[in-house]
Amino acid sequence: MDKTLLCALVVAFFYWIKQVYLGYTAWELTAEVFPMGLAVGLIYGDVPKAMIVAAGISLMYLGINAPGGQLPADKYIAGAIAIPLALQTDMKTGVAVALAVPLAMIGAQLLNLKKVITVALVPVAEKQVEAGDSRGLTRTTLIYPMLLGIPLFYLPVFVSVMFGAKVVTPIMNAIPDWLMHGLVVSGGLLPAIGFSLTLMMIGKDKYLPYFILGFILISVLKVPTIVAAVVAACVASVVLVMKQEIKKENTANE
Amino acid sequence: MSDEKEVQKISASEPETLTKHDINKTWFRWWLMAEVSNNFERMQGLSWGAAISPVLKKLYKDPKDFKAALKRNIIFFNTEAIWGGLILGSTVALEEQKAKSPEMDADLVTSYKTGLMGPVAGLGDTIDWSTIYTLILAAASAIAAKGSWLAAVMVMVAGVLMYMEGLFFTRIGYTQGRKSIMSILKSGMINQALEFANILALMMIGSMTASLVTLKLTIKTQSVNVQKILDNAFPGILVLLAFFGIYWAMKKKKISAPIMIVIVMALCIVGAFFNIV
Repeated sequence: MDKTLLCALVVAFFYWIKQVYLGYTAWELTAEVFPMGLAVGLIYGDVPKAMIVAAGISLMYLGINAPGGQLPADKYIAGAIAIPLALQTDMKTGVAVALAVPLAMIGAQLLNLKKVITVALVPVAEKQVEAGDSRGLTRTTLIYPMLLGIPLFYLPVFVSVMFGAKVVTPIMNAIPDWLMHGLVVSGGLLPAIGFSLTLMMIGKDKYLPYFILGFILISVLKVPTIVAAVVAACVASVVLVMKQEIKKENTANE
Repeated sequence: MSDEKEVQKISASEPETLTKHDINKTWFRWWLMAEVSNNFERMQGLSWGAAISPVLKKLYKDPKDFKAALKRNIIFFNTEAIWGGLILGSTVALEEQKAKSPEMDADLVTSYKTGLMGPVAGLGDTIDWSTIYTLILAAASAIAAKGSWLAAVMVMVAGVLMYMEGLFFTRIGYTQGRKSIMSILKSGMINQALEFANILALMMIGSMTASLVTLKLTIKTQSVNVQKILDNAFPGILVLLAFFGIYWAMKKKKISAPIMIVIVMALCIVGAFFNIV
């Protein structure tokens, strides 16, 4: 089979699983950018490049992963389209990551569209419940959204992967060097956004010194990542133990 | 009164006993459908009803009771589905209780489940997604940045383990019932685990920022190489400053991630145009 066709079939299917949400964690085995990258890389015979592009996309949107929630960007559609295009053409990885940005913005609207359309299922389900038809209820809940997902999620990705390279290649050739270089530089800096987002979500500002400590471990002391993880676990343990000791003392004093 | 009850018991056929298989199956159905029919009116409500319907059918032999049970289980519902296993399991236990003693107020089931969905979603989102999964993603990204396929295996294993986690929660919810769920949610254990994870996460994100974020100045005068001076004083200081610039803009200026991405790209392109970076 033609590589492009095979790739389009596979990534469109993966993306469909993700946005239909068939199986609450099934997308982690399919549409998450790394399995997606692995599949695309295997098809085109260049796994390392696919994984590097996937890493760039993942880092940029790190911290955007509340399932079912309102997401400002859809990194999955970005992965489904940008990774194949990066391998179909000789696009630099930094440029592929840049290409992911507008895709993710457009994709974010698709899920909202699904949630608007599926409101129409509610009266159907209510009728079935009134009739005690539990099989019908399952059908309404499961099958109809799956069908809706074909035009809404499957086809856009399929078409983009099939024909995207034809659109992208002339544009890429027209890009001047300084612009290309700027995109590559931004590829190095964009992960900072993902990390910032994660920090905002899990950390309070009082935790920032831990962040700086971790940064210095690598940038100044240049320890291996595994060692950094062990140090981090030790620091966390020490803090918890000390807190408990203080608590004990306080209760003893009272 | 007691006579009436006797009559009721004889006329209505007894609810079937639920087996472990029923609980596993209910979790599987919930895992499969939880977000599939998610919509702006009921959120996960229909999925919840569909997931739990086979159990209800086993419990309520009178079609009228069955319909009533289905009806109260398709109302608005929204939570984090894995930790939602706790609610799922304990709701099945409550429905079983209700089927055995019809005089029990059905509103209890509804209000229990509605009251719990918020706090459970908060815990599930914070612990599973914002902390654990984000850390897994960060680690996988670090591996993938070197071109390795192992990153894919990592997140796939995570997907399977999270399925098992939800199954575990559903079983606990069913066997322990609602009282212990409340005590689990309120216990200090969770807070301690969360704090441990937070500190670990922050340090790891710090170290990953150092290894994965790159920014170098190319600007030079005849005798001074700015980047070299910075590297000698504090290796990575430029990246650290850039990071805090972005962090500050997003947190204090409330700039959203997609907008921030565009800003960073624009700045980099401008920098490249003037040969600064």
